[in-house]
Amino acid sequence: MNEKIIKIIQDVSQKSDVPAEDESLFDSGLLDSFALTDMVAALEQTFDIKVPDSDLNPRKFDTVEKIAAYVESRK
Amino acid sequence: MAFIRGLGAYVPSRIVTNEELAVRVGKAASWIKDVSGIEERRWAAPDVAVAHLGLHAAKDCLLRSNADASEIGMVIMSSGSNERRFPGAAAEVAKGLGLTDVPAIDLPVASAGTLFGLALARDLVERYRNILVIGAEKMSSVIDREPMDANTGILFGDGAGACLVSADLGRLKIVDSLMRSDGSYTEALHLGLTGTLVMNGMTVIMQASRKVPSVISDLLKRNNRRPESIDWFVMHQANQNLIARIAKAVGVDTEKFYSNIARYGNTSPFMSTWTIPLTKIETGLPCFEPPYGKIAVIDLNTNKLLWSRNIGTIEEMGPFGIGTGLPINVGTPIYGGTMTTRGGLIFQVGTMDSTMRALDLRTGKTKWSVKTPGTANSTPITYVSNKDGRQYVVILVPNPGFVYPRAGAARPSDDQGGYVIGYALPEATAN
Repeated sequence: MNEKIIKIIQDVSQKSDVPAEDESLFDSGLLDSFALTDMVAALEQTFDIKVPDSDLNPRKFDTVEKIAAYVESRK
Repeated sequence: MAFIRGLGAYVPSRIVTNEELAVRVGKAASWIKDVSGIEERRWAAPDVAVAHLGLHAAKDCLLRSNADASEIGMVIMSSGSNERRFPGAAAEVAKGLGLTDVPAIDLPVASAGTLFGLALARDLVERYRNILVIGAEKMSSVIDREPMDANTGILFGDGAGACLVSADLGRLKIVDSLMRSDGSYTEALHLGLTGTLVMNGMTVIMQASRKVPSVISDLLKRNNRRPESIDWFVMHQANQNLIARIAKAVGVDTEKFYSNIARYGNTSPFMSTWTIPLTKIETGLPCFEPPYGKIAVIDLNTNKLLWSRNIGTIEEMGPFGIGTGLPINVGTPIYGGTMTTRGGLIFQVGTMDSTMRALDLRTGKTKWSVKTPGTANSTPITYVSNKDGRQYVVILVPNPGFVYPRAGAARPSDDQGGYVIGYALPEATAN
């Protein structure tokens, strides 16, 4: 799953960086607010999940680890 | 029924460029454009209040609506940056218009405030007949300026927009509206009683990029309309990147989403330039009742109006650029000047019916007119030729004309160049 998530991050950020699993995607400059929005849409599509508005909290999507945990919780 | 009778706008004159702010936020000017789509914004002077901005827009709106302040039955004003907790700016603006006995209501709602005002006006207009809706923000006074915050400092501009909603007048009907609020994210963007604007951009963008498309879709669905059947979408000018994402989510080209953010920044009262998309949708005519163009003569000795008349017909104007062919003298917008001769003739061009006219200075009667190849966006000149002693009147017909192309042209610009046209007066009439 982590590889898929990293691929999504690279697509939406249009950068080839490979973030460490616990590295903040925002602090490292990989994701800005718009890329984050695009990433959530891509996660929904790729993993066939629905992210409710109430879960649109940047903190839930700050690292690859957190994203993976969140996606798992929605499956 | 509710109609938009007219619109108005005001922005302060001072332009603040990305280059000016780049130095203050320690970023490149190109970064500002990349993250927001903004190239410049306007900032008001320190002593200008939100109510001042709103009053300017209100007066502009009344003028463009051909309406008198005495017709207004209610004032609704939205602002997130008003200087006082109470009274709000609505009552001040109403007073500025000479209205001291109509209800004036404030909506302390930033961003969506003008749309909320418009939706409320639609629901209340049967009772109050004409409701003036105003949105005004002086965001430059609520952002962190020393040192400047890179996230908010670059984003906001000052300005005001106004809209007159009428129960029975106006060419644009307000068909339906849908308002929603969700108080779950009040901490993400707020302005306290003291301090400056606080914004968590990520949360704001995430929520907006979901909620705005969803409310658009729901409104269209209940009216049995598909997004692609809509000519123009006009949304709060928050950030060009957000507008583009919302267009994508709705399923239409970004070009269908009106945008003025490059020039004015995030002004909240986005109505400031509604006139532009609305005239495009319709006929090329402003969206208020004619006349749009008049000519008047005032006797400067007595300060009395001698006469005034509508000028210009709608022959060449109509929906989708197709002329009506009707010689109705509604008074079109005029993009050209006049030239008055000692003999008492006014040569006049610039109406949108490709016509040059000579009017009698004393009576306003048309003494002579001629069709030109397009709108003569110029001021006529006249001279007496040394060579033959005759008097000539000369005009320019540029290509493209400011609004309408030369008659018969398929496109506004046909790459064929414009015209310089001279008319000779009959011999021995030089004056």
